[in-house]
Amino acid sequence: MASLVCNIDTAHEDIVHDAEIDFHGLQLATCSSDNVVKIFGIKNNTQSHIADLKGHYGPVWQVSWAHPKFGNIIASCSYDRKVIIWKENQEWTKIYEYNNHDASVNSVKFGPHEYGLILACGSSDGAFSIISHNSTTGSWEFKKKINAHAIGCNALSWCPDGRGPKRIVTGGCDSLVRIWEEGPNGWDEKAKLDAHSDWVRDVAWAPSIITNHTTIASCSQDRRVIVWTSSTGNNPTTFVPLVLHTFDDAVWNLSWSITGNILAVSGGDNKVTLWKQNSERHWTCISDVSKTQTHDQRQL
Amino acid sequence: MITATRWSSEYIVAEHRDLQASAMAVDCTGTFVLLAGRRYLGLKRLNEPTETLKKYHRNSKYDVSTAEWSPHRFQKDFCAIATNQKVEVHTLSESALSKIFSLSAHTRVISGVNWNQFDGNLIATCSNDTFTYIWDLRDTKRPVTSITNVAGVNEVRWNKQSSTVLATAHGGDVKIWDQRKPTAPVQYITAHLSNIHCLDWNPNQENQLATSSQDCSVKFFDTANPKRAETVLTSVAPVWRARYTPFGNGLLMVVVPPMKRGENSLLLWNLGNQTAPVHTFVGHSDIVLEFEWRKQRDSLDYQLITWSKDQTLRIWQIEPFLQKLCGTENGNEGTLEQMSHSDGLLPTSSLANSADGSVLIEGDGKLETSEQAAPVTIQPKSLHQEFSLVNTAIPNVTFDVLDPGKRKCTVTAALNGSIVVVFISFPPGYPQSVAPVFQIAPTSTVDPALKAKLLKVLRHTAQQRVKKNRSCLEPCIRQFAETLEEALRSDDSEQAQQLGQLHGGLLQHPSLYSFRDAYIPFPRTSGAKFGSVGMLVCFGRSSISSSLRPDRMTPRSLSALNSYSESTLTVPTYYFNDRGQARPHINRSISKLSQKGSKTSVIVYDASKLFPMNKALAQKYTFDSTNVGKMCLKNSEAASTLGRQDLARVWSLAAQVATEATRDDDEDDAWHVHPVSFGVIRSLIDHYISEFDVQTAAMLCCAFGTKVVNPPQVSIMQKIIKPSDSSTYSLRKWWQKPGSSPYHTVHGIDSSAEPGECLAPIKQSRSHSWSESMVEEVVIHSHVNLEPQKPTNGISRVVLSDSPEYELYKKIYCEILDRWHLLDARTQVMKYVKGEQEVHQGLEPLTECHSCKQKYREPLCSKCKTPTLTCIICHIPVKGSACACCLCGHGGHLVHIFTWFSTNLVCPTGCGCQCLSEGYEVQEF
Repeated sequence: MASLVCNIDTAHEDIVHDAEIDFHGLQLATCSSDNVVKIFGIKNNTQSHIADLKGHYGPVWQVSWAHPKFGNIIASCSYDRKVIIWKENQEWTKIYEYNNHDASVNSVKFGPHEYGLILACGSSDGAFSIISHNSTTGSWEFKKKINAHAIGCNALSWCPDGRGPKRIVTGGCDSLVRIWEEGPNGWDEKAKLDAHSDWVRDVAWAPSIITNHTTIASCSQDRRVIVWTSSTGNNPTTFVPLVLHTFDDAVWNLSWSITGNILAVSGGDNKVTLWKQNSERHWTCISDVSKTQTHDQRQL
Repeated sequence: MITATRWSSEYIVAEHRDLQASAMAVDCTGTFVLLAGRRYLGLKRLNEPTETLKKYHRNSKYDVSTAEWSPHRFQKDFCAIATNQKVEVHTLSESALSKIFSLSAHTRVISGVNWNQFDGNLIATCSNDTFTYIWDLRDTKRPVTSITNVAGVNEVRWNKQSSTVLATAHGGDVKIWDQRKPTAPVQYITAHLSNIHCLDWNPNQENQLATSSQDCSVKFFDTANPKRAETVLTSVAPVWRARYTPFGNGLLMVVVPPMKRGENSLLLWNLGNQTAPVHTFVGHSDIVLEFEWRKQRDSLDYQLITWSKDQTLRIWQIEPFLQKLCGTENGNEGTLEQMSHSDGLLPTSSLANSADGSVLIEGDGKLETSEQAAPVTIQPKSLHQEFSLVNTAIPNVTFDVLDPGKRKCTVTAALNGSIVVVFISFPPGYPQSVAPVFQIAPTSTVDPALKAKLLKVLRHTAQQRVKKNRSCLEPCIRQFAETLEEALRSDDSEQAQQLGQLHGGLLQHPSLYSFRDAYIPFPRTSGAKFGSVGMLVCFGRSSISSSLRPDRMTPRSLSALNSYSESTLTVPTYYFNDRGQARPHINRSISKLSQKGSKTSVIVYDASKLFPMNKALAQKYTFDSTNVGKMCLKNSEAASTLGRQDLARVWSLAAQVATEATRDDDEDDAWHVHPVSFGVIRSLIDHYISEFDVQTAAMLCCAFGTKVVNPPQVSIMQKIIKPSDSSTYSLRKWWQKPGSSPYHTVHGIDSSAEPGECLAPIKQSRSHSWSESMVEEVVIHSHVNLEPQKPTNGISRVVLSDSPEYELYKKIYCEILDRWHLLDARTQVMKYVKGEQEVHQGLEPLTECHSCKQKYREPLCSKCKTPTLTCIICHIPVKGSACACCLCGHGGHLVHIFTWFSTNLVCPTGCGCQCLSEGYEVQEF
């Protein structure tokens, strides 16, 4: 079903923790335990190494691309408690460094472009921060929500709908998934989704092509992936959980396709599975095992 | 099973060799004893010792580390059994044990379990994984409170007087927590030099804690003031258990004789007299693992139940005479103790000493209220007596000289390297309104200001006391010590801050802050992310490392990397570690190889075939709002050339719906008013949405939707400078922006452009005279009129109503086209997207046509059909990219203006406007 575009030897000196393709599918950013973020060009099925971004002093956990209308911008977060925003002006340089967290920053995501250049990051100190660029003054502003999750915040995801109030979903070591909305007095908790029995490792808010319908996926150390759905319109507070599957090992990565009907799941068992929702809203695993095998073989 | 029971006046022995029990627990009523081991759970009625033990098979891989019955009578059948990483809560019903809950969150073996003494639903558990969890049996999925720590936890105990306080032991340290504030300990006590085996709170006094340790001692702490142990009991061997007795003021201690030599005895102490134990229970031939107390209902006797490694259960009778040895007879002693504590002046030991001397009962009428009924204050008669009664155990203070003959006293306080020596002399009249004289020795190492402050405190305290004819030495010294500590502590915190900064620098080195790793999730080593439209990027470990740990679950936190070895481990070595334990060198080389190899490769897949959207189709699709039927037919052809016969059919069906029904049909009614034709399109769209084919749905929406057209004429906007909103882009930034042009010469609006994103030149009045054909004001954001295609002009039969759903499909398709970089197609679709009718805030550019002098908000004069802006460089009306000065209004082709201003600062017309600098200021405004 899926064809190989390219196999990039990143030449990272340690294990890769995240890789993300940009908006147009022309560039790839990777990050690794070797403290480096790398940018590759993947135009026309050829690959080229564009830049090594060095600035972190610890393993880099996650990278995120901003919408291209702001230029070529990525954000990276690391064990060294920092979030760094990098921009390409002729060459890639650091344009902002956020170090207001007291522990490893585990997740970073840019928000919908309609809100301007804005990103959220979650940290093991239990807080998440919203960092935004004020285009009038050219300065960076941040809001930190402390005690969002007891012990630590492991993952977050923006509501992809850029029209209403800003919303994010977070997952943490308290085994809860929480939904937050920006109000006049900062970020307020709108809902608390309680079904996992261990640390939540990743959350993903699905793009929705159906109005008044919200879908969120969460995965956890308890080896389960749960798909939460709400049909209560624009202000979702009550969600119905559906256990997608119980895997063989902890699950730590989720990604939705652009139309929100395919979910990519991966975890400690080193396998990637794709789950598709059919027109009756049932979920089936559509990934072929051979694909993950070739995936592994190519890595050898 | 051999059950040897023999009666004696003192004890009952029962041997249960096959149980291999490692934990014992007695329920709160004293009816049952539970013996828990790896293979069996044994249950025995203590009231009928002859009854045989009931065995329940467990057959677990793991030993039971500890067990405890609920201390609450209403749930006396509940028993918590800790095994490996779980706590199982069993209930006893009709003499059968059944598991009701399993509490699992710990990642290492659980070392301690304790029920809350007040709330029967709360259980605290602790483990070497550094977490202490508090569970609520009403929700057993996860702990209600997590207390995190740096070091592993050996033991956890709830306070017996306060429902929220609990103590945890970490190696040799003790932390006191309040359940309501799990982020930081209330107290941190550096209690012992080696491991603490047991913690026990005094059942009668809230702040009294006993700790027993490997270092052969039991220490007693006042947790409100834990700087130093109040008393220390030393033993010859490491102390395994030490708990307060339920009677009197006693303590029972289990020692572990070194090298298995010596007596495996239980020592009973009277805490009032700590010189020697009052009784020794001898009998066990191996280490006593656990002991518990029970009281028989109709007896004065207590019973001590012990379980030992020698697999015998012994029950010892504690008769009243033994209880008396622990101070039970001095029933009033406890009362006196508490009272003296509330007074805060005279400690217990002084009372014991004062027993022989006469006791003054102060009769000044002022009743000092304490919790106890008798308001009694004891005053020493003479200076001699006062000295003998002084409790010298004041933290940081030593009494060097106490000479009642010379009426002198010397006190030395040493704290944080500062030493203060105080000489005190007591005049003859003391304490009858005569205060002692205080002097601070010049050798003291504190600054003069602090000296003065200390003297003031001493004098003040003394005055307060002697006014009432009371002795004042001890209160003075306590006040003095407190003041000194306070003064030096504030210095301390500054130092600590500096240290913290230093550490902050050091913390740049990862290995130094790895202790926080317990809360950081284990790093992702594989993953898959969708990107752009149909791309999937995957990364993962090589299959060598993935196959190495097939049976094991991925650990939860990053600290797993550290716990396997002393050296800092990396993620790849973790996966090799299984074999590496035996062959570390080989392990290292494998890891290096794999690091060098393609382990770090990332694979990009094109998964677009998984999606119904097709880029080639998007390129071929055409738009024609004037002839919907033709558009549908064209798209049908496009679909069929790409082999999408299904879509080709759909488009031809759509074409039929669109085209005018021929009158020669048999039908009376025209097809276009036929309800089916309208329903067809709707259900087609709904169908494709349910298939997640946004492309087809959005294209149908466009074909049968309403195209947004220009407003014919809107009232001329005057020069407006509204308080510009924050998102005003500077001119330069704006034309650097990829993929958009400053002027949208296409009719309709681009809804992707945010309000305020488009910069607008504003007109300045002086420019009128300079040029006829200059930009006055240009409106880019205009109010749009929606002009539905009327069925009468023979274009389309079916028009979809404006529905937010359809708008959404079109917008999503626009985004997909944007990601595909198909900007032309995107613009075409955008023409069908209804713009948001919000009022544009910011600068509103207007243009004035140079021939008809009409003002327009769009760059084309509708009367003259010429662009309103004429380039000031080449004097040709501008089509396409243009820009103009905000101040003088002169402008033209973007390329021309750009070239001019790359070398010049002033306006090319010669109007004198410094377009670059002045114009910029206006924008700033």
